[in-house]
Formats: sequence, C-alpha cells, structure tokens
Amino acid sequence: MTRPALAIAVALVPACAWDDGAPFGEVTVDFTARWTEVPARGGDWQKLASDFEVQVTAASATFGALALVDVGTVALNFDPADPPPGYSNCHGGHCHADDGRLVSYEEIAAELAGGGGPAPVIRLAVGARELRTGVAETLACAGAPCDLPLATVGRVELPVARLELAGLVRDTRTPPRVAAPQPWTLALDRADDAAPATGTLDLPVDRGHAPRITLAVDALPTAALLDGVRFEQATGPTWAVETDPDSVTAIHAELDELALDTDTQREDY
Amino acid sequence: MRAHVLLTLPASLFLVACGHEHGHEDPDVEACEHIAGGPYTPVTATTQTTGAPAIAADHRAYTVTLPADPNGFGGFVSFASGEAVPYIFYVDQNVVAAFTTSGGAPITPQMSGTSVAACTEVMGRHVVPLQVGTAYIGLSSPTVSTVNVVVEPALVDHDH
Repeated sequence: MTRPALAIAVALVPACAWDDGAPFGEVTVDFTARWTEVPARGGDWQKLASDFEVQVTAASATFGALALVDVGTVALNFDPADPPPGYSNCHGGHCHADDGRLVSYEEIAAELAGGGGPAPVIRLAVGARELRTGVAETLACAGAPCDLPLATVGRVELPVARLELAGLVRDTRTPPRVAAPQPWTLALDRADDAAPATGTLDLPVDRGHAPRITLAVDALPTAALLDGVRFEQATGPTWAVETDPDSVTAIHAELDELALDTDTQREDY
Repeated sequence: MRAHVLLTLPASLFLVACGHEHGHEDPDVEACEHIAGGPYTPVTATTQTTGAPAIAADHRAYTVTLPADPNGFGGFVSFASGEAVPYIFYVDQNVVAAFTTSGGAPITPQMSGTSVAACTEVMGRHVVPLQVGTAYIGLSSPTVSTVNVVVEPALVDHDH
C-alpha cells in the first residue's frame, strides 16, 4: 500500500468503527392507573377490614416520574432475618430503617459493599391522572421508544405525590357507627421522600437478551388504602378524612406498600 | 408474566436459598420464630367483643392477658382482615379459641391442632377462613391468664 493510500485507509477507519450502533435495549412503557374494585370486597360498595363499606365516586392522583431502576448486580450480603444496624423488619424486598424509610435490599447491599446503590436509568413524567374511569397511555421518550443502557433493571418506581378521593361510607355493624350514607372526602399530599409505589422486574439489558421491550405498568389502588381509616370519627355533612391524623397515618402506611403490576414483552429487532 | 416477579438477582438467589426473611414458605416456622422470640406486644382482652383490642398478622406475638371470669379466665381480641383468605392463629398455651364474625356468626376453623413440627412452643394452631372484615377471637381457659398469639396468612407469600 502506498503512503497516500494508507493515510486514506486510516482516515476512513474511525468512520466505520464509530458508526452509531443499536442501544442495548429500547423500551416503551404502557401505563395504566385505575381505581380498582376487588370482588372479595363486594361491588360498588367495597367492604373494609373495619367492617365499614365505602363507595368511591371520585378518585384522582398526581404521580411523580415513573422510573426504571438499575439495581446492579451486588449480591445480597446480609441476612434479612438479621439485618444490619439501623434496619429491622425485613420483608417483601425491603427493610424498615430506624428513621422510618423503607429501604430496598439492593440499596442496603450496595451500602454495605461501599458502592453506589440502585439508580434510575429512565424517568418518564406522568403527572395528574383521573383514576375512577382509569387512564391507559403509552409513555415514551419524545414520541419514540426510550433507549436503555447496559443495566439490570429490577424495579419500577412511581411516586404518588397526591391522592384525592370522594365517596360515601356506611356501616355493616349493628348498631351502625355512622349515619348512612355518610359523604367523605380525602385530599392527601405525600412527602417528596415518601416511599414510591413499586413493582419488581426481571429485565436484564445487555447483548444477551432481546432488545425491544414493551413494559406494561399498572397502578391499581383499591379500597385496601382505606382499611385503616377511622370512619367512626366521621362527622358533618361531608367528613374530610385528612382531619383525622390516625387515618392519615394509616393511608400513608398503605401507600408505602402500594405495589405496581408489571408485564414485560421482549423481541429482537 | 404479569406479576410481582421475584427478583432474579444474585440477591434473590440468596434469598431463595436462605428462605429466611419475613416471607417464609412455611408459616409454622415463621410463627415459631415470633412466638418464641417476639417481638411481643401486650394487650388485655375484653370481656365483651365491644372494644376488643386489635391483633394483626404483623410479624409479632401478642401477649394477651385474659380477665378473670366465672370459669377461670377469658376474653376477646379482634382481627381485621383486608383479604378473604385463611389465616392461621397460633397460641402457646392450652386455651380454647372460638372465632366469630363481628355480627356474632361463628366461624369454623378449617383445621385445628395442638402442636406443630417446627417447634415445641406452639400448643394451638387454628386455620380459619376469613372474609374481608373484622373477626373476634374468644380465648378462654380455667387456669391460664396469659397467652401469646401469633397470626400468619395461610398462603405462602404474605408480602405487604
């Protein structure tokens, strides 16, 4: 090869070697949020653990960004039955921290290993949603599937910033503890650091797995959120649930454990 | 694959192998841990169902003090179920346990026994089919005035 020819060949190499490649994966998220009636609780009137029955006539929520979380590959390095100092009551993939936070096993393992914890690889804005009739929509990145980096996506998180409900309550006990039907409302704001609704995933993103991913995420809150509400305290023409601190605490505890349903489909290009 | 899919990380592999978090596949083992090692929450049963203190399936033992009655000792506690599933009620003393709905209808256990293979502390085990709502548990004995009670869902997975 002559010197000029070699120079041309070398000059062309980067153009070939650094051509855009396909991402490790791309995901489209189909998101549904809907207030859901549970058959075991009845029909329009949903029975509560407290023996009250509620009819939810209006429901809406404001969500933060839906996040797909890379949980990494740090092996579990503690026994959930004997959690490290600062944690207790480990179950369902998380432990209760002494300061009240719910902390995932992966975060604790990463902390003990001295490394970084799980980190979001994608955040998709959701915002305010009406829940009573339900909302189903595709969340995408600028109208296209979102590129995924090399990751082990093990969790989807969805913060619930605000929950608003309205309905009626009646009692199944005799004598009834409230005059039926008693109207009630709820307007509940969540702290920025409150535990998000969470769903677990098995979604390795690498060259060994089909890269095109459709992920369905369903947020389906039920009357279980109201199991701990002290409806026996209901007074006035319309009782505002948030005026009772114990009821607010109970709802926050239920929201802390709110699970997301997930369904994953994968295919090759 | 719609589901709460278990993690498939090394972490979860450890968990499956270990099987030792709060989520035992065997509720008897879980109950034995709590009935023998707590944590313990004291409650005092009431002589009537009205105002009966609540116990829960929340990874703890409830130390129930039974008030004196003409037959020895007896009283009521309540259990609020958010699911229509069987629950297992464990006790560590020889006491009679009777289950009713909040309306007073008796609930017949699917199964009752006086021991479990997993430990020697359990002296009563009752599998009780519950609907969503509140049930009352009447506990009585001619001689026993304090009993530890642990409640576990009969289903395998009882994550929140």
